Amino acid sequence: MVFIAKLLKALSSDASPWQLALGIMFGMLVGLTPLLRLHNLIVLFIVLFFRVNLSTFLIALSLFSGLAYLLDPAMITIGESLLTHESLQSFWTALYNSDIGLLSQFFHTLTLGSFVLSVLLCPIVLFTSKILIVQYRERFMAYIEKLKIVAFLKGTKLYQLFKTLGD
Amino acid sequence: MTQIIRWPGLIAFALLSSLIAGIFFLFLDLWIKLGVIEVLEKSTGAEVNIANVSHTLSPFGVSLQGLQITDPKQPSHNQLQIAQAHAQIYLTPLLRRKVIIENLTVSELRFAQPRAAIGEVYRQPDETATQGLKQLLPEQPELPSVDELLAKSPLKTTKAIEEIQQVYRQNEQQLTQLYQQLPDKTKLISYQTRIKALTDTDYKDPQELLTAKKSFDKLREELGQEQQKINDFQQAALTAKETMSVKMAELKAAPNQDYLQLKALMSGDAAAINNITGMVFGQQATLWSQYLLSAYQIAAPLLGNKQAEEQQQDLRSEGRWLEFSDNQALPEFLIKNAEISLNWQDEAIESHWKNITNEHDKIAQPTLFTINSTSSKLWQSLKIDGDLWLKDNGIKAQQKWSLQGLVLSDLALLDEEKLTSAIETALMSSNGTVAIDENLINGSGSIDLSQLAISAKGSNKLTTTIANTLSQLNSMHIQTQVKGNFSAPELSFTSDLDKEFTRAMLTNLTGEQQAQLQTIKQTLTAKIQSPLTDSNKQISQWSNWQELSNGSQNQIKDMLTAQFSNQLDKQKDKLKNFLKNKFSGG
Repeated sequence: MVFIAKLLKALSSDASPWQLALGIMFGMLVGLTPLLRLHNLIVLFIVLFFRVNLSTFLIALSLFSGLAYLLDPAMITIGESLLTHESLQSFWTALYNSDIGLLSQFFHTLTLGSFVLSVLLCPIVLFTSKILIVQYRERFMAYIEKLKIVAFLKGTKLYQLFKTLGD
Repeated sequence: MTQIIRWPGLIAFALLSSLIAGIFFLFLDLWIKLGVIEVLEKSTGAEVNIANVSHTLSPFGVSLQGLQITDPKQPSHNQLQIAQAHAQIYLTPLLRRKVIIENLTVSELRFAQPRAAIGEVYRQPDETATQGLKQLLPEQPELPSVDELLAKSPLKTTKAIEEIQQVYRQNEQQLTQLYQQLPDKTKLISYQTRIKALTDTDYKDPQELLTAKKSFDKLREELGQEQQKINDFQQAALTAKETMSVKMAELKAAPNQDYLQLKALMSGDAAAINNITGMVFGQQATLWSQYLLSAYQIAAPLLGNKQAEEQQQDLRSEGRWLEFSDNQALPEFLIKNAEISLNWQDEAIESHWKNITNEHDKIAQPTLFTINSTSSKLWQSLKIDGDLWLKDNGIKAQQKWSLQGLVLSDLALLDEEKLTSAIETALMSSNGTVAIDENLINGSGSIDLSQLAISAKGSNKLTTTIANTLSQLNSMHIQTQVKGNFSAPELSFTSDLDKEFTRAMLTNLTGEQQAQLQTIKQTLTAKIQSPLTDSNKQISQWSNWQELSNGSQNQIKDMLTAQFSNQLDKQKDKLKNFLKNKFSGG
């Protein structure tokens, strides 16, 4: 209910599709990787400092956090294979002995695996989201907003609250 | 630009970051507490409690108050407990998940202290074949009665009587048979008559002489056979007499041997009086040994169980932390210097440690520890030093100790239903060495107790005798041996106490028991008289038979010396004279 209300609010807001898509992308990045990591602090800074849509960020964060439980084994395998890859050992060793390497905690298989997967997914998620948002606004938004259930949701206090916060 | 940047977002970020940092520092003590508890519980397999945790930021340090580690073997007690511990920790290695402590100070470390509540055990310790006091204390409540002893003890006297009778029966039958085969008087006279007839006859022609010669040879053969029978009999008689003599000697000695055996049995079960030293002093000596080996006990929880942790980490679905070679080659865990104060009987024993780690190969140095205490009210001097190196195949360590003039007073040794004992006063000295290689411990030491006064009380005859023996001791030398697996070493104790106790048991028999034993001795002595007399008679009879056979043997010898050649010579002479007369024309 909260997600739907948030999503509807975001989609029907004046925010540009890029803002919304970036929110989804960064939400995916934070959602898939372990929370208490340096890169997530940087993402948080970007999301807050730049006009990235917070609603789509939070929705994506929640959704991808749930998805992460399913993807954890695959991401651990990716991290494990990268960290133990013979040709990358000198690079990892150098990174391990650097401050940024230590702060990034890259030598944790899940951290590295999830980060690499998220970064690879970033452009796909970004462009796909942007296209879908544009398509939604052009083709489906008018129809959706006429639905009784949407009219009902828009009439709820929760929606009004998000609207007020968004404004 | 303003469309891209959200300035209030910067404030939100600052606020959010501050909030995260605030929460982090607010709950840092709790997280440290939970982290330390988790690590120690994994390592020891039992409940760990920490009363309070505090930290300092510059230099970064953590203080723990009221640390208790449950003993998994005895959950009602703590394996060790610490009043306060403070560690200065390097922050950068923490990011590599390495705990490097520059200085660790531990005060009021105590072993085997009772817990307020029974601690949980998550992993059962290895089963060890420890010999409990109940196993050492005999189950038999009272000393056995003479009747019980007679009923269950095979008496040597009875056995000796049976044996001598059996030997007699076997020999009697054989000797009688052989004796009956010997030539009697009539037969001997018959032989003599036949010899006389053959040797005294004047043979007229050679044919008669030849026939007589054949008869004589046959007679000699018969005499030879008779002589062989006599020899066989005499040999059998000799063997029988010797065997009987041995059995008679055994029979004569048996009552006294039975008396001594019964006396020993009445004094107590032989198995029960073994290892009195272990029974009485074992509990306390084990505790002393634990103190002397306390360096390893201190180190054990600190060193942790790396293998178990690694195994556990592999099983987790949260991924694992990989390690790459770093510039400093730091181990996962290292305490560079530690000052640990062990409390024993309200006396603080300071120990100094260097390089406590679970990866000695990485730092290429062993863990060193020293305890050197001379200023104590309790002892004249205490010195322990050793080293410790954890290898892939187990612990390699060595330690030597020297303790002089430890004052002991009112120290409970045993508090069992059957026996209670306590050292009222004593001066204890102990020296020894111990070495551990591939987790196998091997060492020996001595415990000398002088100016010894023991109070002891038994509840039955056996334990009362033990108590009396203990009460009479004024010095004691206990030799200890330690061997087996390091985690569950087996301790053994030997001393002169066992011999003392056996002697005491023999002298502590009651008058009634002594009288009963005397009666038994007399009964047994009387019991052997009849078999002894019978045996003597039998031997006399066999001796008579031997004498008779000797006479027969002599007669046969004489007969065998008779020569038929005289007759031949006589006939030769006759023939010679006849021919001489013929040729001389006579």
